[in-house]
Amino acid sequence: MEIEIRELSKVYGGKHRALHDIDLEIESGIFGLLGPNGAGKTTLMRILVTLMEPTSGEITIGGHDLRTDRKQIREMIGYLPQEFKNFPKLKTWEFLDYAAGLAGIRDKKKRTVAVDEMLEQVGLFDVRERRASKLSGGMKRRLGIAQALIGEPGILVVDEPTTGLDPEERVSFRNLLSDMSEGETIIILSTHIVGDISSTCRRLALLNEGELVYSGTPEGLVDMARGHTWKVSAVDSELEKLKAEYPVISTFPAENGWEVHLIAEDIDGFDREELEPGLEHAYVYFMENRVGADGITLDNH
Amino acid sequence: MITGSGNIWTVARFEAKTLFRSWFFRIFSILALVLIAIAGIPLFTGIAPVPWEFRGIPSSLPYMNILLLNVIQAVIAIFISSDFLKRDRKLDTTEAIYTRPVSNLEYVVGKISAVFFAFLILNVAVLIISLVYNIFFADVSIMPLPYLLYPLVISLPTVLFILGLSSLMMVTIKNQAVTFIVLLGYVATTLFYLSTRFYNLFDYLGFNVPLFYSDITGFSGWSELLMHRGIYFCLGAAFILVTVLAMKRLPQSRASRRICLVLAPVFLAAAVLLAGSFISGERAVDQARETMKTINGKATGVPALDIDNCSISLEHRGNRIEAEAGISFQNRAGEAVSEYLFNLNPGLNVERITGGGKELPFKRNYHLITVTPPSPLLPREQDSLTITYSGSIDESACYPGIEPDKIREEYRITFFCVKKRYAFIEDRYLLLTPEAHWYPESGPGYRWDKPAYGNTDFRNFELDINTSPSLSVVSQGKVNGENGRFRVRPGASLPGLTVTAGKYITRSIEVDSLQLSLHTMEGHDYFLEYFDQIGDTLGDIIMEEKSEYESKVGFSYPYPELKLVEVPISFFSYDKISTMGFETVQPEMVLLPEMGLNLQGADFRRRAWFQKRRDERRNQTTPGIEKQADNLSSFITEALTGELTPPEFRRRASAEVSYNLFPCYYTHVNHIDSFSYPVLNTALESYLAENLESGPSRFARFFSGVTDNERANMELADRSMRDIMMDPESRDILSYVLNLKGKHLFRLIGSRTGEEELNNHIRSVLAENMFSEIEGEKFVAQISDRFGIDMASYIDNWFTRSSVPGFLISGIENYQFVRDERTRYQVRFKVLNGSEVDGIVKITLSKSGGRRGFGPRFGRRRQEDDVSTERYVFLGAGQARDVGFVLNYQPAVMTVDMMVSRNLPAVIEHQLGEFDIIKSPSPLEGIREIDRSDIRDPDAGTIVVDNEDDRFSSMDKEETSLLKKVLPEFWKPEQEHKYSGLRYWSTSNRWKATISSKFYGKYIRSAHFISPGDGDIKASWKAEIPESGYYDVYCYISRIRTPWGRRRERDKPSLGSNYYIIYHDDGTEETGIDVDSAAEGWNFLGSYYFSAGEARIEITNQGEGRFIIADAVKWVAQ
Repeated sequence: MEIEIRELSKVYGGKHRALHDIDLEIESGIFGLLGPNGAGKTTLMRILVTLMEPTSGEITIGGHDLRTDRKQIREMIGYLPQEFKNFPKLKTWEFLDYAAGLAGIRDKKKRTVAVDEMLEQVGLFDVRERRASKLSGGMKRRLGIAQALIGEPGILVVDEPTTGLDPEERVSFRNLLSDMSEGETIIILSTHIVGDISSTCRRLALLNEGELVYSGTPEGLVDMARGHTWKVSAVDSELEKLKAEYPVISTFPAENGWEVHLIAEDIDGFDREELEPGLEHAYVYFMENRVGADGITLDNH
Repeated sequence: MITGSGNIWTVARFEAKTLFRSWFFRIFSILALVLIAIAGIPLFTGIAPVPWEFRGIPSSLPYMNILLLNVIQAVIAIFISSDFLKRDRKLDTTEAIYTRPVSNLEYVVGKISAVFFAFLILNVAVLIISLVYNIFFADVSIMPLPYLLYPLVISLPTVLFILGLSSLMMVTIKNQAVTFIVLLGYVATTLFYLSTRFYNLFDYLGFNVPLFYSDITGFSGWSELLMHRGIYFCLGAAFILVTVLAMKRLPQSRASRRICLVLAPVFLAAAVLLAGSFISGERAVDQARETMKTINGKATGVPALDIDNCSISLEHRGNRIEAEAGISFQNRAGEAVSEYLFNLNPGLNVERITGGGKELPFKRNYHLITVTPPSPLLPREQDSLTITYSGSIDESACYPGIEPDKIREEYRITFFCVKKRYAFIEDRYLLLTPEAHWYPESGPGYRWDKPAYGNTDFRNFELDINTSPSLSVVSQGKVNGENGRFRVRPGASLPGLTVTAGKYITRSIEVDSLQLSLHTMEGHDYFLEYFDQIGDTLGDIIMEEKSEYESKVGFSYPYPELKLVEVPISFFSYDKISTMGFETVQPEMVLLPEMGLNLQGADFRRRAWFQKRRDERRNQTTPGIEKQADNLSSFITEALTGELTPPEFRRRASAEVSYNLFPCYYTHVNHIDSFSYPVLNTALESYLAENLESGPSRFARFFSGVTDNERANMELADRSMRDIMMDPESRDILSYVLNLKGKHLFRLIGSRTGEEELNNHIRSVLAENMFSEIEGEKFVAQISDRFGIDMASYIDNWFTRSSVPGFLISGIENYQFVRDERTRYQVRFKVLNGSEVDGIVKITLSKSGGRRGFGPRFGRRRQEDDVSTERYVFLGAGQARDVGFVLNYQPAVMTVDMMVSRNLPAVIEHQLGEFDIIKSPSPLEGIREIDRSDIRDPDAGTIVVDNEDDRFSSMDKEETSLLKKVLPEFWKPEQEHKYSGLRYWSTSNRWKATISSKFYGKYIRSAHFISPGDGDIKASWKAEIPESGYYDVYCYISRIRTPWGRRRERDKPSLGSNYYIIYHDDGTEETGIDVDSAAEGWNFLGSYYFSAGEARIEITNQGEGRFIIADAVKWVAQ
């Protein structure tokens, strides 16, 4: 299975450019969509799940044209929207049952089995009789992922799935996803939390202000930040100056002041040490440079 | 398609679940069910005074309940459908659902189906409630079909339409609150304003659609019904499809989108087409009238042919008849006739006309048949023809004299709307009356230039009829036969023949050589159990009723038989100008409504219940046999022998049909046939039937301000009867004008010839000419000759003059005295005809008040001990009379009926009160001519200002209610005359005029009234004071009682105080007067000094009673 996106653009109300000339290929496995809020991630996802029409461009999913073959595409898709809190007056299992019915499991017995299994899998079996609207935030997200997964979709689209989850839930959610990613399934995961991506994604795309700024492996992104990630020691008075001048990733208290991790092409006048960059560093480096220096081109993919 | 229906099912299942869990739906549904169940207790159990139609027919239960539910479900549906779209938008989880492989069509259809399912359950619940009432309380069996049909014809189209409309509004307006308000406004507009306007096209709730399901013929007018409901079904479907197209979700299936794109316009077009053909169906009556008017406009003079014999052989085949009518006729014109003119219902197709063994050429033009005989028919010569025809009855051609708007007026029996039908040719039922014109008649039929002319040929009818073997035939005279073949041989010449065939069960009894038979439908014998004890006395009861009736009418029943025939409730008839009789009463035959609906006396269960209650209250036990006898005679009185027309109050509420037997005594027996004085026949009818009339209901006064007779008088004040008759706008009042003027004509003549002499003369002429026409000119000439008067000029004057008399009554005195050792009672008064026109007044003195209320008089027998005395007083223009009565009983009330006059009220009631004992009286018995100067004006030498005078003025406050200001004119109820009813619950803060015998006034006894307020609204009387000086000031007080409520409460003080402001030379004086304790008449307010010039007295709306009344004030110089 493959998703091909060509010259995709979306303009809202004739003015606001949400997506601009996106070219992207997505293959099986987990695909991360990274970018700050408002970068266009949700727009792209909503287009992919047929909730919205692109202004221009072409998308084919598994060979089906997104504009014309919505039925086939919808049959392949499981979608978890970014906001997933308000339910109709249905019990947990009923909501899942509804989704299962719509996903094409017509046989009542089969559906009951599938629903129960899924409830087990996401750990909601004990609350199956509870009204979906009465579930806790985490449970609701789990129900969300359950309804997206039911019917074994070929493409799973999850928009900011970890928002509102506690760390433990976040971990188990990541594990759930990586379990799913084995096989032919495409999982598209959008997030503005770098941590969500680093452990699971094989490939990712970086969006900023509607434009695709990077597409490739996480390692590729990290490589680009190599040589620009520094560990700097600073005293109190210097810390403010550093913060004002450079994008600071993190600060730790040290014996004579602070240990500051930051991104910079180079840095003078400080006690510095080069750091092995992580995805988070790479992301910040990339975003900073994109914002700060227009000269940088993005032919990385 | 399988996945499609699967998806619909899935969506519907979950939508239904959420719907049933919605509190809004739960609360409303439970409320609706509880409401309907509770409403059933008074309506369907017979324990409350609720009309008979609620239990008399089994379809009324599901009809009423589904109709009630329909209003509720329309509101719920608006909310639900706007809600599910709103919910879709509001719930973020919907997005996950939207990405599922469901087409928009499936999704919306699924949702709508769920709502339908919910409503289905609600409908079924309501039907179960109806069924329970049906089983336990109704007097009739259960009809299963209506239970199925009502939800289909009422709920289905309404719910679909309102769901479609509100979803569409929701996707276009996108705001639930706005959608809700707009739609509720729409519901209110259709219910309260559009209602039956525009051919009832906007009645999506089906409130005014005739849906009464007859036990005999089922729904009448299926096609019209299906068209009307179909409009809303199609509109609903179209709106839903448009909703699918406009839905804010990317479409998935091109096929289903295409289906919507194709079907939406198809449904829309279907709705428009249905509406078009519905309207053209409704307008068929206009077209029929236009066509007939054009054709008949060419006819002149009297129809030349007088049909003597009519022998019909009729085949009744399903919804068609095939007939052959052999007619023989005579030329009554003064010249030879070369073309024969007949009329026959245009729905009947003439196939062949033969005469003298040969086929004759003929022309058919709509209802007309023109036959060319081989040679012209010479005067007084006879000829005969056989006309073969077939088809059905085109009912739009019936009652051509009735305006289309009147025809389209709904026929509503309280809650239930009934289709008006004038003839039935159906598989299981046949009913043909003369108005259907189902056999050929001479001449062109109704003449627009002579609306009062009824061409009545008394004929010898014969009828051989073949119908379905399961039906039996009822018609006039002897009916013999079986297995669907019957011979009908009437015993006398008839003006028209009526035939009906149905599953009739006949019960007969012979009473004093009168064969009385009752023909009711199978299963409609609910009444038997209420008369099981009076089998032996049945004849006596009927005899008693009969002789009492005949003593009032002054005729004996002319036929050997009387057949009471049950006909479908839809059978409707109008009052025609040419006769007072209704189509429901035919020679020796009365067509009673199905199950006696329309006749409250037919509700024997409720009567029995009331009788029981009364016995309990009085702590007595009336024997069952007495109760049953009472039941029977009340029924006979109400239906057949009581008042000629139903009381005004009730007539407005339901059908205006009468079943009074009077036409069997006069209308179908005699006919004054006059082409030059066509109204003469109706006038005579009114005169002869006068004893059958009831006085005006006092409720009419309180409801509408004036009685129908007064409205007729107000019409006559400016226009002649001829003008009124030719004005279609006045059609509503015409029958009252005719009645009033008819009586007046003969009373006027009677005052010249002697009442009794005239009456005897007329009755002997009628007796000599039974079952044949009387030439009008001859009738008039005979009266003129016999009494030496010029009756023709009386009639001319009466017909063309546009002025009415006015009477002043004064000096009423009453006392008792002893003469010949017996106490006698004198009532005496003076009356003046102050106008330029001759007039007549009718004086009635009665021992009891003789007042009547409205509604069925359960268990109340006629007041046997009531005695009354009547006298007519003729007064030429400007003449005055002294009128005296010496009676040997003490009368309580004197009523002066001024008949045709400009007086308001037209009937004055005067309570006589105490009779003082006078030792040496000089009583008057009879009428004494006096000079008009002998009449002393009691107010002479004083200055009186009445509210009818120019010098009275009422000030109104600006309308403060914003709603009333904003509402356009057409929302305001029509008020066709100046006077309002004194309805204390709807008094307003505007001065309105109202009439009562008790008020001060010369010709018009009226006053202005207003609801009590804080004293800021005033009315004033102004007078020109001739000389300065001290004057006594009086106001006129009358204690008005309203007829509502229990007697005790009616008599309780309810008027409080009135406050007058007197403007005099020393300032202003405000003075109050306690109306409840004041004497009636002039009340002294005080003495004040007034300078010459204008003086003024005001009344304010300050007070605490039910209303403030401003009548008259006077200044009396000291």
